[in-house]
Amino acid sequence: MSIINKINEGNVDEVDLLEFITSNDFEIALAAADSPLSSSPILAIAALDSDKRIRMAALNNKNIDDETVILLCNDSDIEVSSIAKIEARRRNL
Amino acid sequence: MMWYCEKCRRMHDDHEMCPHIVQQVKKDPSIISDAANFAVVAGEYHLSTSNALNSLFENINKVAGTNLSYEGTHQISRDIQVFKRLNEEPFVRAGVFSTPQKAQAYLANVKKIAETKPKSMTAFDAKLTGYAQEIDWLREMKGRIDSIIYKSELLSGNAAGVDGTTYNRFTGKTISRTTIKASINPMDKNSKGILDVKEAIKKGTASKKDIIFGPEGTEAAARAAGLDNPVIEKNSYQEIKLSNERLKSKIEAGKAHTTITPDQLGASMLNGAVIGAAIELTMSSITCFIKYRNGEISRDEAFREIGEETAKGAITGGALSGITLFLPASAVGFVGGMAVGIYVSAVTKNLLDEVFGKGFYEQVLHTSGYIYGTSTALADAVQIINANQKQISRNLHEVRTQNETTSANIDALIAKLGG
Repeated sequence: MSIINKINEGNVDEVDLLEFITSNDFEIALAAADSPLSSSPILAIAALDSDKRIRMAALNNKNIDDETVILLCNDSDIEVSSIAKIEARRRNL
Repeated sequence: MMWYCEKCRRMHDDHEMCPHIVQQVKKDPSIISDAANFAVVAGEYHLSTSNALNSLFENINKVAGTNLSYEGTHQISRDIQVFKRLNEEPFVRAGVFSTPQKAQAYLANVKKIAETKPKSMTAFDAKLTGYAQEIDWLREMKGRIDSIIYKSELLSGNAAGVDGTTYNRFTGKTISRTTIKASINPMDKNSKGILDVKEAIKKGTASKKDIIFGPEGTEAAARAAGLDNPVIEKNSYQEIKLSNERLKSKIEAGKAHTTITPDQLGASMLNGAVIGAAIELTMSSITCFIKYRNGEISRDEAFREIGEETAKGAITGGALSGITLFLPASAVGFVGGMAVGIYVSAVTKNLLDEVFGKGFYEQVLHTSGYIYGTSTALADAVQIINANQKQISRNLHEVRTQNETTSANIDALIAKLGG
């Protein structure tokens, strides 16, 4: 089974996802950022990613914590920061 | 250091000067000051690049209640190279080591996860261990004399079997390939690194000619596992553990720089000159210098031998009491804002007095610009300052009390005259 399939089927744990979220393979990192098994610290790491698509995936993951949402409000990419601000308002931050 | 003299066919030890060298020095007494200058630079180089000065700071901290620390420049640059390697290899896409702040946030989150899943920190430690050892291999190869002819490079992208190659700069021909292994545990025949090499040879991605670069104990472990590969050992597993702790401390402190910053260069400089260290000018360092002057050893050899020798004899501010100290009057005498001087032990002093006549060598150093003076132990100096401070406080209190009494008397007098 490929790594992406493992992630999508939930056959991974937090230690695996920590490794995958910074993978040099973009698709694996994206799958990890999208995964409902990714915890808030993993998504906080995804929020540091140099690729905006990973940061956006983290922002769209329901497990993202308030601190990371606030961090992304100041993101260098306007799309990410705008969506983060909407999410921050929704959470009354 | 003991050395064999071909001229008189005898072994000479640290406190002995070969009669041939005595003749040379008698003919040209300025050799003493030239040797002192060379020793100061070599000793300071060794002190500033190694972490020897940190023990000096520890002693000063104990006495003066300060919080000074010093990190040698070699270690600073090595750690920077490790962070750079992390940024260019395992984390190249994610960029979490592209800034010290991102690295700091990354490690903070790894630690959070490690609270319930300790394996997550183990995985990060493994990366630090592996990539740091790669940098140590590269630095080891670059520091070799044959690096004039050979160039070594680390491979990128997790190349199978080998981690680095060494090739002839001029012809491009590969001289050797190296597989780099590291561990925070003692190496044995069942260590992962050794098993990986066996597996790689079986698969054909490595060969028996490839060099294994690993921590101490790798050679014995390889032989026990039936591997005949040449082995180069570097670092003990304890040093690797310490390196990991230091690297993580730097990451946590937001100091995981991938380039040298001006702040780092100035970070260990102190304001003001404090007599912090003194390097012993020994007979053997004078002899070593003369051998270099005679062309019997290279400048690099002399620099290294004298540097290590004098730094071994370097004593801290806490223990300078009673020694005659010579301070170079130029800026070269200062390391990290602290004056580094030369001292001559009683044994060396007696020998030099024998050679030149009493007190002559001191004049030689003095006329070449060394400031001749006595020294006092830092602990004694702090005690004296504290005692003086207490006396000053007492005097101040007395004066204040007298002033108050005088004021009260004057007020009373004015009141009487007014009434």
